[in-house]
Amino acid sequence: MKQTFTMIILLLLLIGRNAQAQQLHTLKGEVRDSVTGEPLPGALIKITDSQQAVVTNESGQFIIRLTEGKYEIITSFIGFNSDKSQVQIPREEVLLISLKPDELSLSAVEIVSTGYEQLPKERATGSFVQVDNELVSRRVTTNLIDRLEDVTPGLRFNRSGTDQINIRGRGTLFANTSPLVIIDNFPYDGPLENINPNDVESITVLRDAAAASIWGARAGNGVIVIKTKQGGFNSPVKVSITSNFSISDRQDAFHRPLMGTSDYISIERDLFGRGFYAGTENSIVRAPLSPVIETLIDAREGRISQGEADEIIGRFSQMDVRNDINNYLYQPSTLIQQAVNIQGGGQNSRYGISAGFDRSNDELVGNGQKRYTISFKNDNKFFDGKLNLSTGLYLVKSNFTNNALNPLTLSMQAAGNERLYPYAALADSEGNPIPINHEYRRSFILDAQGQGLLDWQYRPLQEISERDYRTNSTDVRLNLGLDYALHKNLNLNISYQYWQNDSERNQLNSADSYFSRNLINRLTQVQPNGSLSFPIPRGAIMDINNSSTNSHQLRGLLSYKNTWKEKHDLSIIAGAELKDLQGNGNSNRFYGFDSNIGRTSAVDYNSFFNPFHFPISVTRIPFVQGFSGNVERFTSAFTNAGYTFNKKYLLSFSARKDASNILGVETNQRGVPLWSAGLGWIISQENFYNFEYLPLLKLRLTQGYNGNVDRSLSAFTTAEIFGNSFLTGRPFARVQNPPNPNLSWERVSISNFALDFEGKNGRVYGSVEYFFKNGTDLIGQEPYPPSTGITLFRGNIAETRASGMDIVLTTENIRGKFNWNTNFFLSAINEKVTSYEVKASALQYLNFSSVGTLTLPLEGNPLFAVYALPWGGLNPDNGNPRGILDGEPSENYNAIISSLNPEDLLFMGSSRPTVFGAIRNDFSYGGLNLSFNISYRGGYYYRRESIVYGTNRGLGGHEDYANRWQQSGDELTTQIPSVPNVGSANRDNVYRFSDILVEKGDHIRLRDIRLSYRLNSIQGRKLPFENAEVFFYGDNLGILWKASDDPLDPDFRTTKQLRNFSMGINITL
Amino acid sequence: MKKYTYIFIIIGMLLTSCEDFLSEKPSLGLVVPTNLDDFEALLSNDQQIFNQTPAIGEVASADFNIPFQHWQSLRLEWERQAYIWAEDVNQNGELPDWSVPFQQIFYANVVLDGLGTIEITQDQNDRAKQLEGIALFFRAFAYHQLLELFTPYTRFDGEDSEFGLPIRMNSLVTPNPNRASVAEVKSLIKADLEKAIELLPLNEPLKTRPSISAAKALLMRVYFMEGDYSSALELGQQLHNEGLTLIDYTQLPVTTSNPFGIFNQEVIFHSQLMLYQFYNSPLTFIDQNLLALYNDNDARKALFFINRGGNGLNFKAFHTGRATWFGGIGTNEVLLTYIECLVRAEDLTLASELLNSFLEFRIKDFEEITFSSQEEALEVILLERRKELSFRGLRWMDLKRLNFEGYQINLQRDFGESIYSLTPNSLAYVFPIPPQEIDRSSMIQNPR
Repeated sequence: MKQTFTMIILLLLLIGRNAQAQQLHTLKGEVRDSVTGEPLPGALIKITDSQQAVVTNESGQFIIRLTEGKYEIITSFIGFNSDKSQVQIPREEVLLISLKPDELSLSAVEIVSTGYEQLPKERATGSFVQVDNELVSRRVTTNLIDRLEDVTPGLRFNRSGTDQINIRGRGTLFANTSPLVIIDNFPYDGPLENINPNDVESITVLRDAAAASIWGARAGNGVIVIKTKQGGFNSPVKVSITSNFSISDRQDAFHRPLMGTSDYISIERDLFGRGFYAGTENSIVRAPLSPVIETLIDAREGRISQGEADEIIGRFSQMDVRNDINNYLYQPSTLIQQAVNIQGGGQNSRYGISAGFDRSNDELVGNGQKRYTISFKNDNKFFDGKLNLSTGLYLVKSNFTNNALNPLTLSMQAAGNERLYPYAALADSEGNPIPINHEYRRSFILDAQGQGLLDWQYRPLQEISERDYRTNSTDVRLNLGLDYALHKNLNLNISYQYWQNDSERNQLNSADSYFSRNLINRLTQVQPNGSLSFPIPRGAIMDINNSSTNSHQLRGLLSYKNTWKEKHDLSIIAGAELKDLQGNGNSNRFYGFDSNIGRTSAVDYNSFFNPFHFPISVTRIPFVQGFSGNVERFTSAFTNAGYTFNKKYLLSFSARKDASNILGVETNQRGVPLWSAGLGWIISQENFYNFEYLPLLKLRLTQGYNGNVDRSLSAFTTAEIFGNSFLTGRPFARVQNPPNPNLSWERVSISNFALDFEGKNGRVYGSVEYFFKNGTDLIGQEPYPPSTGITLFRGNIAETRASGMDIVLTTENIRGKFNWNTNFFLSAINEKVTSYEVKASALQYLNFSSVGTLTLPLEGNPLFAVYALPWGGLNPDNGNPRGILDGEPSENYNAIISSLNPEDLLFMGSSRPTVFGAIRNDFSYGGLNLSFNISYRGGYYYRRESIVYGTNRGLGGHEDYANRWQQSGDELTTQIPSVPNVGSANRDNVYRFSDILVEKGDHIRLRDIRLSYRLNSIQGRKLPFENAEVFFYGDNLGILWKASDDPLDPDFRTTKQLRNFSMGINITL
Repeated sequence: MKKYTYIFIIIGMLLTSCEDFLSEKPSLGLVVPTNLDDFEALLSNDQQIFNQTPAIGEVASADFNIPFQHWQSLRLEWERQAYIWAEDVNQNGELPDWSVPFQQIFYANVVLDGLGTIEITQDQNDRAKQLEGIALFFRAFAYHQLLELFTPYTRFDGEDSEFGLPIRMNSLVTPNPNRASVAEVKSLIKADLEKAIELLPLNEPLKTRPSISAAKALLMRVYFMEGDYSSALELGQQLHNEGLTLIDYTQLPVTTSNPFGIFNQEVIFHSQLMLYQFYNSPLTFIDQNLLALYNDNDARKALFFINRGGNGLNFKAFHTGRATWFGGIGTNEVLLTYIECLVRAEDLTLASELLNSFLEFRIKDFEEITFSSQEEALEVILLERRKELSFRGLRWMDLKRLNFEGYQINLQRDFGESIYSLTPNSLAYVFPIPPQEIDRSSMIQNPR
């Protein structure tokens, strides 16, 4: 750390000297739109008599250094008329230049980045989405990717499953699903939480093959290119300070509709009367019973009277643990972000420095994060600008504390592992932690304590303060780049990145924590003479996990650019790269840990001991030590070429071959060649084109392949070796992968058809894109007959097909002092698994679609689909659910389920949105800005939860229990089945998978509102800063409309989506 | 132009040196099993794969009763159905009693295939032989368990059945829905064990791995269960001559905890019954008729059973030394099997001599027994077998064997309102192939 700081300071000093060395007069200026008053970044300033030229920075400002004299300055910017003005040097005051919009111009030049090269969007044939700085900084989140939500066409955020985001649908079934993330031209392997969003200049999302196939075998899921902030050449030092604070609602334990206390107790009483708890009462593992059952036992045994028991239970029925969860386990989450950016540059150098500090408290008490980020970027030109040396250094330090107790894991830890009895209390009236019945019978615990064992009670709230779980991680990224102009058309670039991420996770369970006490007690041995011995010494238990990953990436790139005869424009890049990523990890546990004197104790891992609560068995002291390591290597060669003829016809081509160290594959199978090609035609440039209402019309067609790899598979049998077997202490192995000689890489073909247009005066512009995405040789999972020795087999068995469109439309509705812009996008996608030969049982499709995490495709349907059974209504006589068997309502549950074929299932629809988008309106008046974003998701379905009776009469299940069928006539008002006499899984299945529980997910929500006020000092006022912005922001503001009557949010059914409010200030000095 | 040439040469060199660069294995713990250490590690997977014995037969053997109230709260439908010998099996999940033995077969085949492809040096020879023997033993053990649960009972000299098992002799996982005949499966088992006997070491310190004795004892069990008493007798003689150590139960302390340690002297091969909720329940009571067979001076009564406060006794003495039930092979099984073979061969003198020496270790103040007839001897030995070898997965096999021989053992479950029964030689003695298999491989279901 120290060295890094010293280095940064040294570099800072160097830059300062560099700027002072100039002996010229400084001219400061600013370029603005004469109509809107908005600054114009990227305008070109040319001095007629000298060769000098500068470009305005993002605030529309420029600085140029000139010797004394009179100059003519020409200012130009695409979409505006050029301006000529005279200026006398030296000049103290800022030169203000206003440009009038060109009535017949194209929209401002957008530069898109593929991570290998920057190209003007008008030259591109591929499908790019640019999210500019303004949009990136619009939302307030610690996580960068969240900021793309509802502003990026084609990027879908999923609420279920392990893939958080998909670019134009999911391109794979089982392989890696995350898009490739490129930061400053190199793939980033670290956690995205380590990127400070305040350092990000812009994000480009590459959606089709022409855009992404330059990234080859890793672009199968699309590519997200992130560019960090950098200073400009010849620009004055600019310091900007950002500070914001945000707070969210508190999570609500009552959100998920679960059975209330009185229903819970009445079922417990009923089950007790039926002898349901007789087994647990005599449990050989001393399994716990709830306080109501204990009270009922006391009454049965005559230890208390029936009246006393009723009174005790009456008191329980007044309680609800969810109140305590809300009060003691949940908290409003908060986030504070501070960042400083310094940018600037001289004639031959430029730099960007940033420092950031974020601090957040999670929605769970005891969890929080601190993050420090420092970055430094510098470019230096040598030999008249022929050589450019760029360096970048990024340092992120984060500290996470994870002491929270997740309420979802609160349970009695009884045999059935049901949720915690709802009349539990976590704290007394003073807020002191109190115990719950947990893991063992209360009487057993008290008895054990009497025998000299440690206090064995579990007080959930106490755990939060008795543990110290923290993760510290350091992420360092070093970039070096060398650009050398070999020739005026030929450039050589060599770039290198070193990345290292070290993370240390410490989990200290204090001597008083239940974790430590429980383990010590379980291992306590009773000697023949009745004395006790403690194989695990009394004291704290410390777990330490260290992991370290580093990577080297090296790239050599030649680029050739030439324009000749004013008609031909050619640009080619070709290069090769290497990547070597290595990770190591180790974990260890220390018993009898004393943090004050740093002492630990040796324990006997080899002997068998009798668990105190379960002496007929044997156990060993848990051995938690291990090493892990992984190596990921890639070699790639690639090329990309673009040719433009007569500024009308565009041609592009790219190809790439990747090879990787996949285990047990013949060398020739390690690599995969992938390519793409594209065509563009700017129709509006044609002579015959004279449609004046659409001054820009461009057609783009691309076709190509991206790839994906599942590194866990192999052509040979692979096995994973584990440390030591419980029985023998010897190493043992598990077959990870049965042999698969036909294994190959996944390929995704993407075709894209797009039309870009712009209306007169640039007031309406947008694009319509239509795409086909076909996955072939996708790794699929086949359920296998167990008689093969495996139950699931993975191979290249699947094919998918997706088609869809992305429409983007921006309108500038009102221009002038008052401005009103509307941004609209709509993405539609229709995904299908077209080939997946093997079928699972009907019940598995039902089950998997209810879980939503595992994937089990059914040919012809989307990968994530909701299936259902036809509902036959309740039997009016007994409230039994009825399915349909041979066209008739039936209660023959086993026959209904066993006669069911996958084809007979009702396909209700996709469980992921097939249509989504957002419409954002921005209003501005002077410095005041109001923006709100409304998003919508549609064309998908979900399964509503309801009561499942299981074998325990629905104990602790859904609150629908209260509205179940109880007597004849109820079937007219309810569809919720009666309680069965004997629990049957298939009876439950007929109801829980019925079509009446499937709901349409379509909804519209108010994503956010942002109100800001900007003050500029240039507009006539003298302020201590150049400009400042104050903003207020509200996020996740709620649902405006939804298709279903289900009271729950279709996307957040188990936990609530929390509203979030932020305010902040950005100052530029 | 020269400098470009250098650049291309450098890039070219980088690309061609990739061969080694890309051969690095992606994960530290991951291997393509190609050496003896890897094979040994696979065969040492004694928790997830090997050393597990199917247990569904024990649920159905009626040595235990469970009250209706508790039966209905059993979470796994398989065990509920097996308990009442239901014909209709609709549990869609995995039945480990079917899938785990096939996993064992697959692992054994991975090792056997692997041993066939690698070069074995002179000094590795013994170890390679042992590993092959272990794999063959495990394959035979798995096939025999499957045979006893999922195929019709056949005698060594009787009619064959076409409802055998698919034969899997290599590690390729291609589905094979064809059921070989029971005789074919049996000859595979016997061939594997005979070869294993040649390859395995005499002494194996780890009881999770088979020794020669384990292979002989398993082969003896296979012959014995199909009624081939003379072949079993031959192996029994060998095993007896090599020494069968017994624990003196009369000297063991009677405590609440398990009197038998893990890997104790009576264990020849350690394996545990698959865990069902049934076994761990304090409401799984020993059948009263079985309990009545133990006299008060029988040491086993106090060692085996415990009253946990319910309305009956639970079983507590596991030769696993743990809470999981024993499903391996013990010296007591070998001895009692041998004695029964002697009785059936009418060698009553040796039989009574051995039985007396055995009972001395089981019964306090034991009085010697003499046999007057073969019938009487058979009755005594079968009674002792019942008292000694219940609760370890053998009863199901014995029921089929004895019913075939005409013993007419009727099993009954009484739930008050409904009574279920299992008649001798009923089709319900063959468990149905799980739907998971039938749905995925179109294997022919057992006749119901």
